[in-house]
Order: sequence, then C-alpha cells, then structure tokens
Amino acid sequence: MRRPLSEENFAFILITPAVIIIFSIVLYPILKTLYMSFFNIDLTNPFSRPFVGLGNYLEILCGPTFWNAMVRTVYFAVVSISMEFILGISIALLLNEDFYGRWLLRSLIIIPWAIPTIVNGSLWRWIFNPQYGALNALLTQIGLIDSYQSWLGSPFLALNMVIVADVWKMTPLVVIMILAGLQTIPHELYESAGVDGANVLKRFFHITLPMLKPTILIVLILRTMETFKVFDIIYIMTSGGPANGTQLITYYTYREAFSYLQLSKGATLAFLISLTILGLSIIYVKALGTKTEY
Amino acid sequence: MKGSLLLKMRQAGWFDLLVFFLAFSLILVALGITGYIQYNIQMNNMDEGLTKYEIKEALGFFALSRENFLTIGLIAVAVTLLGFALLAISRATERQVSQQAKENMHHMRVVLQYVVAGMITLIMLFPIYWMVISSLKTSTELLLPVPTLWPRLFQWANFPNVLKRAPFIRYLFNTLVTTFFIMVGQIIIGVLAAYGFSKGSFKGKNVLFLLVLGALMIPIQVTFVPIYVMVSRLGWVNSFPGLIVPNLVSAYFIFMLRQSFMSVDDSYLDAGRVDGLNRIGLIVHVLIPMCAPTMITISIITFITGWNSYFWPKMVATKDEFRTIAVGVTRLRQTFAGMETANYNEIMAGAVMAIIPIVILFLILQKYIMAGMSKASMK
Repeated sequence: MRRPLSEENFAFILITPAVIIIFSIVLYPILKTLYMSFFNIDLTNPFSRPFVGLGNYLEILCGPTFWNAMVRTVYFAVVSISMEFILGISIALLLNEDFYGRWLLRSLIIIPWAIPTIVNGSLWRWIFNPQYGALNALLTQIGLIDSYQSWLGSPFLALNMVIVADVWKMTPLVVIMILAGLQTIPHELYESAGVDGANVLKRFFHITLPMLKPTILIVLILRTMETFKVFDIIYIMTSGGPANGTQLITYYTYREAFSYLQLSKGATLAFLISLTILGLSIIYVKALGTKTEY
Repeated sequence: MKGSLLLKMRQAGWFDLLVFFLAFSLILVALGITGYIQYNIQMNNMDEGLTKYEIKEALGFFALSRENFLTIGLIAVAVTLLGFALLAISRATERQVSQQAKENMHHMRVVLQYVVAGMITLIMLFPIYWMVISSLKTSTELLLPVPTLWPRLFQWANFPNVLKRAPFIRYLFNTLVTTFFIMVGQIIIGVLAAYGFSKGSFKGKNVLFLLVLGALMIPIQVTFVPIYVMVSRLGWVNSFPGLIVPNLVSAYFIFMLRQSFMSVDDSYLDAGRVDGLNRIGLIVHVLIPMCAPTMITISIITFITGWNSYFWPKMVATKDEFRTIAVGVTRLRQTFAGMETANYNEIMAGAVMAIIPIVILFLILQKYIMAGMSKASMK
C-alpha cells in the first residue's frame, strides 16, 4: 500500500495551484517588466531596441510629469480616504443606533459600492455635465452659484470632482466595515462608562475610537492600496484631462504604454509603482503584525 | 429649566447630528483651503498685465469662492464646537430629569434619527434615482437647461434601442459566465491555499505567503503587457479562458480565508480525525462550515469584483461575442462620439441594465454580507 503523504507535502500540494498562477500572472510579468525597463522599446519604431541601462529611470525621475502624477495620486488618496472615513464613521454610528427601519437603510446604503466603477463614472459625468447636468441645476436653483460651472473643465476642480464620485462609491464600504467593528464592542463598556459619568464625547473618544482601531487600520490600508490603483473612474470621467489634471500614476503608466506605445517607459513606470507599493506593503505587514499582538 | 433643555438636546440624538454637521463644515473648510491653494497656483501662472475681469474669468470656481467657503466653513465649525461644548456640560443635570421627560426625549431622539437617516438615504440614492429617470427621458427633455425631476414623458423605448445598438443580453451572458467561473475557481484554489497557509507547515511558508500578499497590491496596468503577450501566445485573446484564467486566484480571498481558518481551533480538526475524516474531509466538513459567513462574504466580494472589472476584459475581448457588461456600457458612449450628451438617456439605460442583477443580488444577500463582515473584522 502507498504511504500516505506527509503533512508537509500535503500542505505544499494544496498551495501549488495558487502559487503557479500567482507566479505566472504576477511574478513573471514583474520580472519581465523590470527587464523591459532597461531597454528602449518604442512600438512606433519597432526595429531597434537599444539597451539603455538606467536611462529610462533617470529620464522619468528627473522629469516633472512623474512627480506631478505622484503628487496628484497622494492628494487623491489623502482627500478621498479622509472624506470616506469622516462620512463613513458618522453614518456607521447612526446605523448602529436602534431604530425602526434600520435594516432598510442598511441595505440601501450598500448599493453605491456594488455599482460597477464604469457605471459610477458615467453617471457622475452626466451629473457634472456643464450644460444639462443635475449638479449645476441644483446649485443654481438654491442660489449657491450664479452661472453654470464646467465641473470637469479645469484641472484641479476636475480632480476634486472625481474624488466626489469615488467617495460616493466607496463610503458604503467604510460604513459596513466600521459598523461590523462597532458590533464587536461589548455593551458593558458603555454602561460602566455611563456609571462613571463619562459623557457622549468622552465615550466616543475613549471607548469607541480605540476599540475601532484594528478595523480602521485594516480599512485604511486596503483603501490606500486601492487608491494607488485607481484607473477605471479616471478613464471614464476625464481620461486624465483636462491638461493632465487628473492624470494619476496608473493612468500615466497606461498612457505611456498604450497611447504613446513607449513600452519600456511604461515598464519603467510600472516598476516604480511596484516599488512604491512594496514600500506600502511593508508598512501593511508591520501594521498587521502589531494587530495580532493586540 | 435651561439645564433640562440642553439635556434634551443631548439625549435627543443631537450628538449624531453634530458629528454630521462637523463633517460637513470640515469639508467646507477643506474646500476653502483648496480654493486658496488653487488661487495661489493660478495667480502665479498668470501673465502680468491682465485686467481684473480677465483674472476673474481665468480663475477656477473654488479659487473665486475661496473666501465664502472658508468663512462659512469656519463659522460652521465654531457653531458645531459650541454645540459639542453645550452637550458636554449638559450632563450635569441628567439626574434631575423625570420619567416623563425621558420618554419625551426618547421620542425626539427617534424623530431626529429618522430625519438624519432620511437625509443620508436621499444623498446616497439620488445619483441612482437620477440614472433611472434619465434612462427614461426623451432626448428633448434630457437637454432642458433646467432638468426635470420626474420625466414628463416616459420613453421606455430607450431600452429596446440600446439592445438594438449593442448586444446587451450577450454582454450580460458573457459577464455571468466569466464571473461564475472566476468565482468557482477562486473558491476552490483559495480554500486549498488558505488551508496550506493556515494549518500546514512547510519550509518557506511565510515567504510564499508574503509573495501572495504582495501580489494583492500590484495594479493590472503594471503587469498587463507580459500577461497579454502570454495570453495571446496561448491563442486566448477573444475567448472565455482569456477572460477567466488570469483572474482565477485572488490574493485577497486567500488572505481573508487564511485569517478565518487560523481562528478555528486545532481541537476541532483532531475531533474530525477521530471521527475518521481524511484531510480533504476535514476541509469540507469542518473548516468550511465553521467559516461559512466569511466564505459567503468573500464570494460576494469576488462576484462584485468580477462583475465590475473593466480593464482586462476591455483589452482581451475585442469582439462583441466576448465583451462584458462594463465594457458594453462604455461602448454606448463611443458609438456616438462627438454627440455624446444627446444619448445620455441610452447610456443610462445601459447602465441600469448593468446594475439590475447586482443590486437584486445585494438586496437578497445583504444579511450575509453584514454577518460575514463582522466575523471577518473580529479576527
């Protein structure tokens, strides 16, 4: 009779399919990207691909476009994530209260998150439409603005309007996660705090917020990763414009590689993004490490 | 009776309201600051010798109204802080309140909760409402300078028109097939890997796990070119394997499920072994049932991700036979490049068709999502 597999080999066999696929769709492409970034591959001139060493990196790191895109990405991440947290925590606190019909609100609030980003982008593009959009009509009707604005027409404003669309879609996720976190806080904590005479504010800052810390941390990290990957919504709402005002880092990469066909420049950018994300992921793992101790 | 009035405020749910108010006033302040930054940037970039009017024309909206935003925002913050302060002192009078007063407060609190809850619902759902009514308007009504809140004339024909322009049923079918297989693949491969990473022990486990985690964070735009070359060499461009196979593993899935498996005590596995289960049996009969909420939640998230994914399907499926619904929605716009506003009713009709299945699914499964999320976040 065949000897049964050892525990070690069994575990190894189980993870093999996952590892094979991850190697072929992530690790190999990244190495390939690294390789491409040392050459000058330009599909508009396919017959020469000279080796340029770190030339692509120097060119990109010394130019303003990369850094502008990076600054925009960081701005996008900071503003959208803080908005999502302020709104998300407030809404979660409300939904954590007991009132009739709460289940209905809970079901409805989740919907924006389920909507495809592409649909979300088209929808907000329509709402922001300068001539016929709902936003201009609403704001002029209540007297907040005198004349119709071109919301996606100037670089900085457009970036903020894309953030609005992103916040609308992603706040529900924060709400659900925070709500789930709130339910893990034992009720006795609030009761004993009530006996000790802690008021609502004190209770929020001394019980709710510290107890939510692990949840907030996880959501924060996941959202940071996602904002560094933001692409679809930019593509559909502004295509990086106007005047590159919404060109975030992944969109810049896409444009170099697929619109200008500068494959190695795209590869260089891609590799720089991977490095940034690697840095972020080290923070991620460290943060998770402290969380398990908790 | 000043004290009891303040107390009423506090117990009537003013706290929640104030938190909201604070959030909105902070947003206003942020917009004001944004305006100042924009003003400075734009003034620096401006040519000299412009007239006041020309400068005003060139400035962006936030730069122009920076003072308004900041003033209103700061006033709002001050009022909110005052409100918080009042709430804080009001606690002193709490014990003097009679039973009757407490009941009144409870009613007020409930009413306020409904008001705030209603406002949130309105803001969250208005864009969706707008999408639905836009999809039913006639082109003339769509282009009124002041849009109507309720269609004067319901043009249901927008939906058949969209179906005539693009094979949306086919797109829906493709999306369902792709998403289904991705989900099944991710569940099988993910469960196996999560078991290996949580209960198994072998050399290099942690390194491999870190690699998997790292893969979670790489955007598709980074790895796209090599993957695409691979897929096209396999002849998988414009085919279901091309859409499905590169998405079969989700690092997120493995990560969440590993956390969940790790929380199952080994004594359960030992008990299973005593009952004569083999190792696969342990996974199927012990681990999976014990982690059911997490499994359901992650499967739903997987489904949503598959349904919503855009970049890869757009690149790999260039024929209608294999296009997915998200790509289909953008096709509606491209068909009428140059006159895009004129057919927003059709774009919105396509969008409505794209979200109906997922919204229904969500409303049905909402209970499980909440349960799974709270389980997952306790880990």
